[in-house]
Amino acid sequence: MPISFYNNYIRDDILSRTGHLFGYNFGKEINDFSSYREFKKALRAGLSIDMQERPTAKEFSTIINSLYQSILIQGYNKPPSISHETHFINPSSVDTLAN
Amino acid sequence: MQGYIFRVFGEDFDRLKLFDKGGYSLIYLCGMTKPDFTFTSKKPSSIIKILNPSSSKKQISKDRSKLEARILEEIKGSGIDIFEKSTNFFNFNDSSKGTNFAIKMPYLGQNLEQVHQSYQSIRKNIPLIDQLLCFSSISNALSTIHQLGIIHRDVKQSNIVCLNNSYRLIDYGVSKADLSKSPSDEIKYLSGQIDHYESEGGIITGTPSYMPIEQINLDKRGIESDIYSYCVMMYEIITNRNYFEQVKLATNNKSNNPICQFHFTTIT
Repeated sequence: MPISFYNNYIRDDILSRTGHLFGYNFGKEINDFSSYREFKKALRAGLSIDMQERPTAKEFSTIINSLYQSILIQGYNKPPSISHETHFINPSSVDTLAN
Repeated sequence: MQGYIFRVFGEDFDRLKLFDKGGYSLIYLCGMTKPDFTFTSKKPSSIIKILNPSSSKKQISKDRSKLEARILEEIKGSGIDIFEKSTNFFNFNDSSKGTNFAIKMPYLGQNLEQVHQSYQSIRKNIPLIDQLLCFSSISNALSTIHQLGIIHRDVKQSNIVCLNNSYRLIDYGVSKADLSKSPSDEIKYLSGQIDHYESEGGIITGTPSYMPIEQINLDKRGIESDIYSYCVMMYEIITNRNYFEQVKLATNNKSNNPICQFHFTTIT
């Protein structure tokens, strides 16, 4: 099976199905932060089979520090706590992590 | 009970508990002893990693522990605060009397996996700020060791310890020094030995569910392999889900995808 199968299907499927968990765990408001969108893109790239696609640790560091600062400065409302048992994942979810 | 006391770096410790058992090492939770060799409190003060006596005569164990000691020296010598550099010590001694290897570090507390599990048990997530602090600390640590030409090769929750919002990447037991970037000739030589052994024996180092495909296939590995494991770790913290379990679900457990093939035959 070609590597692209993982990159184009499996990884995207996993991240799509669980994508809304990120927003839920991180809080609705955080989706408005551009640094959060950068983080999601970096995470998706980091899970690629193609080594060349993966960001460097330094790039992650910059993105995460930016996100951290955004939250500290702009603040955000904590979402309710959830557990993996109580939070059902809908396989047909179209909430794509990379978006 | 004095038989449990042993001396490392001129200090006496009592072994409170065997904490973990690695491929070539034993890791103990230890407490300091009083001057009269009686035990102090049962609260661990240090983690001590020693060469497993049963494997201490194997060349690969010596090479691996020697490399770990050198890598830690390299990190400490860089002056960068990756771990408790002021209180960590490491030593490797290979003489006719035997091989001594020990790493001592302060007992910082629970590892991230334990913290994560404790949150899960009360149906909560690790707070966002703590998640980001952790991700940031580990990306900084990875960035630093990658600049030194070191690949950790076993980034996972249980290799991250946390104390008071401080997160440290520990366990360089299967780490590798990049031949092209390492500033130390000795590390280059040693890592060359390790690589040769691995290619002959087909040994895979690391934790299966965190391994990228190149590590599974014994292809050329680089700092990018750490990034994959790091991302799997972040995914698990954020979603409370096991990434490999999600891969299995996504492939309906029957895919001949190489990642699944490996995991199905190895960890199931």
